[in-house]
Amino acid sequence: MQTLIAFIRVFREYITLTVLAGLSVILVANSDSVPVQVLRSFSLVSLASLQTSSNWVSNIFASNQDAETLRDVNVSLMEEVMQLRRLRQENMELRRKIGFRDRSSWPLVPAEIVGKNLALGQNMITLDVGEEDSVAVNMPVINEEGLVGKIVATSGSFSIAMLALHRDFRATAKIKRSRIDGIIAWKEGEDLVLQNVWKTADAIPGDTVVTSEYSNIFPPEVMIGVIRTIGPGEGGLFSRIDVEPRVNFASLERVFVVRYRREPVRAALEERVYDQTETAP
Amino acid sequence: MTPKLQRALIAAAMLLVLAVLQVTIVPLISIGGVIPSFLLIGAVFVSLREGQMTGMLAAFPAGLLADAYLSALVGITPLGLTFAAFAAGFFHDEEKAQLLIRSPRAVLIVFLSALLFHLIYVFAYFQSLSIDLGSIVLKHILGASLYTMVVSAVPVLILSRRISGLKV
Repeated sequence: MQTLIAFIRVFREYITLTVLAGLSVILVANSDSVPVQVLRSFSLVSLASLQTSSNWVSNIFASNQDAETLRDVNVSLMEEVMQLRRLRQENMELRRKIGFRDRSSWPLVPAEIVGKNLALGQNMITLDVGEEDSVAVNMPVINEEGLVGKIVATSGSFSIAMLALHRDFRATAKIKRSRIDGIIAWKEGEDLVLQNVWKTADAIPGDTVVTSEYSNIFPPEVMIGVIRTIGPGEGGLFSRIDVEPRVNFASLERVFVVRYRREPVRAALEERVYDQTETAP
Repeated sequence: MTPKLQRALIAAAMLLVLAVLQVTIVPLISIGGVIPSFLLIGAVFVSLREGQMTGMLAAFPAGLLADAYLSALVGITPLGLTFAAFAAGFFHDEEKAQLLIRSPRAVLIVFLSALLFHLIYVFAYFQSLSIDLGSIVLKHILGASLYTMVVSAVPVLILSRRISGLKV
């Protein structure tokens, strides 16, 4: 016993290092577990309000530039609105003719970014809306330019969103022109990559990439970006398609959380059928 | 309460404050996506002053708090900080601790610890991605370590101005 105590005393720093490193690895492996989520909620509640109050420093420099940019955006938006009105009229007429069901537009929750972590590839943002505004985990986050990310954690009045430039971000997407499906993921820096697209698929640089209707999280036809380059992918079967996101993540300040939920009937049916398929002999 | 324990508790509290600053104020001074790590500077100073054990035990909860707020993988920052505090603790000398944290050597130790911290952090975080290794090393490891080292010169300079009244 005394030998053991002496051993611990001599190597106590190494033992502490091993225990703490082990704990860290366990935490990394269980980042989505309930205790970690509780810890997240605690830090979100305590730190988000502090960060909100520290933001006035950066806002001083940003407001003048904002006003100028907004004026320019306003002019181009006015033109776009006129054009969209005309297209809407045309669209409604066509829909009625071919018997399309009316698709409801999803309610948007405007949110201000009160915290940003773009360093070391973390790419998460804190929003000033939370459960009190009916914001929930996995709701999509967009802005006027397109897809921004999705909500990963919420508290009463704050929430954290994972940007599309995050290593764990994935969304089913399609090339708007040819309707080719793929999966959008982060490549590096400010670029995205469209994965799982066959080499023979119809894709050319300049094609627009939007969210697919197969997604469980994102509504269809949300702008993601434009194909920049196409090259041979790993393994030789798929192409490597680099996509330039439409959203300027570096200057992101305000976003919308889309209160989008997959249709419950569709969700239930898919779960039931896929479960049966998985358990079938 | 012994004076040593008292100092350890103060160190832990100081690192928790630095964790708050790390997620609230530090992003405002980012240069091209590179930010210094106040937490690392604090952890290294605690290790140099109080030794490996106190450094590691104080750095771990602070890293955890910072990770829980804005990180997808909770646990990476405490892992990197624990190793950095452990490494910095090798330079701890009970008798010369007060002089060491006021000398340029402290800045160099911060740089070396920052390299270790960012190496662990970046490779744990990016291990599953096939991205350009050169840009990772330049931007996220060397860039962030240099920035952290430059910032660490500030407390060293402040402390060194008070050296005249110091009795070792």
